[in-house]
Amino acid sequence: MEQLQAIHHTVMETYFSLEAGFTDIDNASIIERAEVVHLLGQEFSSKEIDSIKDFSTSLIWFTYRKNFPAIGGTGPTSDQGWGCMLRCGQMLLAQALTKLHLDSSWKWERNSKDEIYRKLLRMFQDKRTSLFSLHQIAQMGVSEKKALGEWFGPNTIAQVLKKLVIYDDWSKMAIHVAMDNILISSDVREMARAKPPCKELSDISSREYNPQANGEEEQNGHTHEDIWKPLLIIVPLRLGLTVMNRCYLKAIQEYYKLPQCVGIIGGRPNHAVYFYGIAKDKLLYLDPHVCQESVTVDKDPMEAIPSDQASTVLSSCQSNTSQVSMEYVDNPANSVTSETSSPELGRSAASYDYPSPSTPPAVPNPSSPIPDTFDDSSFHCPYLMHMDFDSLDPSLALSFLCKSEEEYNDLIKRLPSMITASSPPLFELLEKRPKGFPKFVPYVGEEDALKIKGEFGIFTMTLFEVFLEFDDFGDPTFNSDEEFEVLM
Amino acid sequence: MSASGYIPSFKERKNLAERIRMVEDIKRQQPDKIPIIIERYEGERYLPLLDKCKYLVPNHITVAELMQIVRRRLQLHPDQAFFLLLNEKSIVSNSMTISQLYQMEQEQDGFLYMVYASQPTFG
Repeated sequence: MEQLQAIHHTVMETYFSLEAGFTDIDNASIIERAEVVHLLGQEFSSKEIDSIKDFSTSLIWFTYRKNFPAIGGTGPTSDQGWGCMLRCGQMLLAQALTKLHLDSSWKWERNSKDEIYRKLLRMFQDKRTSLFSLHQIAQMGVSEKKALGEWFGPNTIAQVLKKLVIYDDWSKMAIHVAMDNILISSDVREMARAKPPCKELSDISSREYNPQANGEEEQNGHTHEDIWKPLLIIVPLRLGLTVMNRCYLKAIQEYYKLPQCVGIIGGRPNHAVYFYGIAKDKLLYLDPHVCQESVTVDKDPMEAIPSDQASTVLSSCQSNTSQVSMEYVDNPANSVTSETSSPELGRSAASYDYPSPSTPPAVPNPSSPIPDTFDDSSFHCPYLMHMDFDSLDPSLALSFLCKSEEEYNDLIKRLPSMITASSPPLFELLEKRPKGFPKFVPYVGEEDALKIKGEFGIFTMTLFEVFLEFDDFGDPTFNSDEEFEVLM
Repeated sequence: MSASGYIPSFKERKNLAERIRMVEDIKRQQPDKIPIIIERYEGERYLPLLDKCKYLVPNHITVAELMQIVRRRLQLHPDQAFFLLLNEKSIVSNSMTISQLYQMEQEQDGFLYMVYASQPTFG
């Protein structure tokens, strides 16, 4: 397994030109073939291609980065070739936080001055002190038995994010990961009301500037247990063995109509992306497989990386040369799928116009004492990209954001028709844990986690002591083919 | 594990006539139990192998209960991804009993075939 990954890593060092696969839907016909397009719960007519592009560009985009501070002080300084699922997790989380903290009408414009948006973006910077940095995610992955630099699956990133959001005092959001294809309402309610962990653990995010936090902190306090925290629900699924089973298409289309929809992390085999919408049977996505230079969006300009480095992407986007500093990275094993799934060669990044604020902030105003060097252009993707439903890897995770109990109640009213839009249903919705399931233990921080972790695998489901005795797991011998094992 | 050698599936190890005979024999002895084959997906890289693949399950057990039985056999943490698939689809009707599932999905030889898998990783 490790050998295989090592090979992958080497292969992925190979660079492909941007045009090879990182393409824009230039001929809007792909989208226009669908009548309507659904993006994270919003409906667009397929004719409104500009609105669709604006929507897509507004989303926060995370990609591979290079030359960031070494993870753990001596570890990797780039996540190229291994970080794509981690980046997709960041995109999902950033979308959930955007919905939580910014108005629904909020639209990104380049180098936005919105302090809440800036604070949010800073939480994802590539450095240890940012709570949702690649650094924090990769290191939290170690608790999920993932070595630094090892690839993640959709469930792994969901589990890691679940542990990290505990420390976000600003958002006070919880993540519930629904396992075994079942969303259980009693678990959700328990998770949403679970008592937050002790205060001293969670100070990373509060170090950042927070224009709204004062007062609010005291009001809500940390002691109330009956508060319904904003809840991000992640449902890892496997919708086929080797390929995506087409029977699920209808349900996925319905999923993107839900107001609580915050997107899917998945991809095609070996290649994770963040799916934010669907047009008929084409999923629209943001792709992390571009290696950009690490940039800083800190408040203090003295901390910033020299602007000639930081703005390479921007400048190449602005200039009219075809020289593009982004490098598209993929492994050749995927190139066939990559071509079939997005065959249209787009225009290069150079010709794309980002939405611009009225005054160009890229030029520092000489009269202002501290020039605003904030440059977020590399966090917004200028491309619309799509993938055929059939080329998806069947392993993915759906996510829903419920800011309040009312929103959750609304979700469970809408869910039955969504999940049964396909046969068999996408997953199951239950009020209580089924018979035989172990008790639900809401994750509220490491202290408690230690209690439940114990020795790996010995976390017991006592109800089943009667069913089973433990067996040794030796190498399988198939002389037992003649005898049945009685499960009772 | 499977990296060193290919493990033939139950169907490859036993021909149809043998499998039919097995089901007939066991149904005569244990008429209220369902014969199920549970195998690891051949592309699975993270979950351990079960030491056996042929199971007799009481017909009143639900899919959810069976899922927990297998999870426990594999000694999985509740947060580890685990999916039971049948005919390339995840089994999601968890409150359905095995006997109901068997009526719908049994194969020609009289067995119910299930495959278990986690999720692959992405780079």
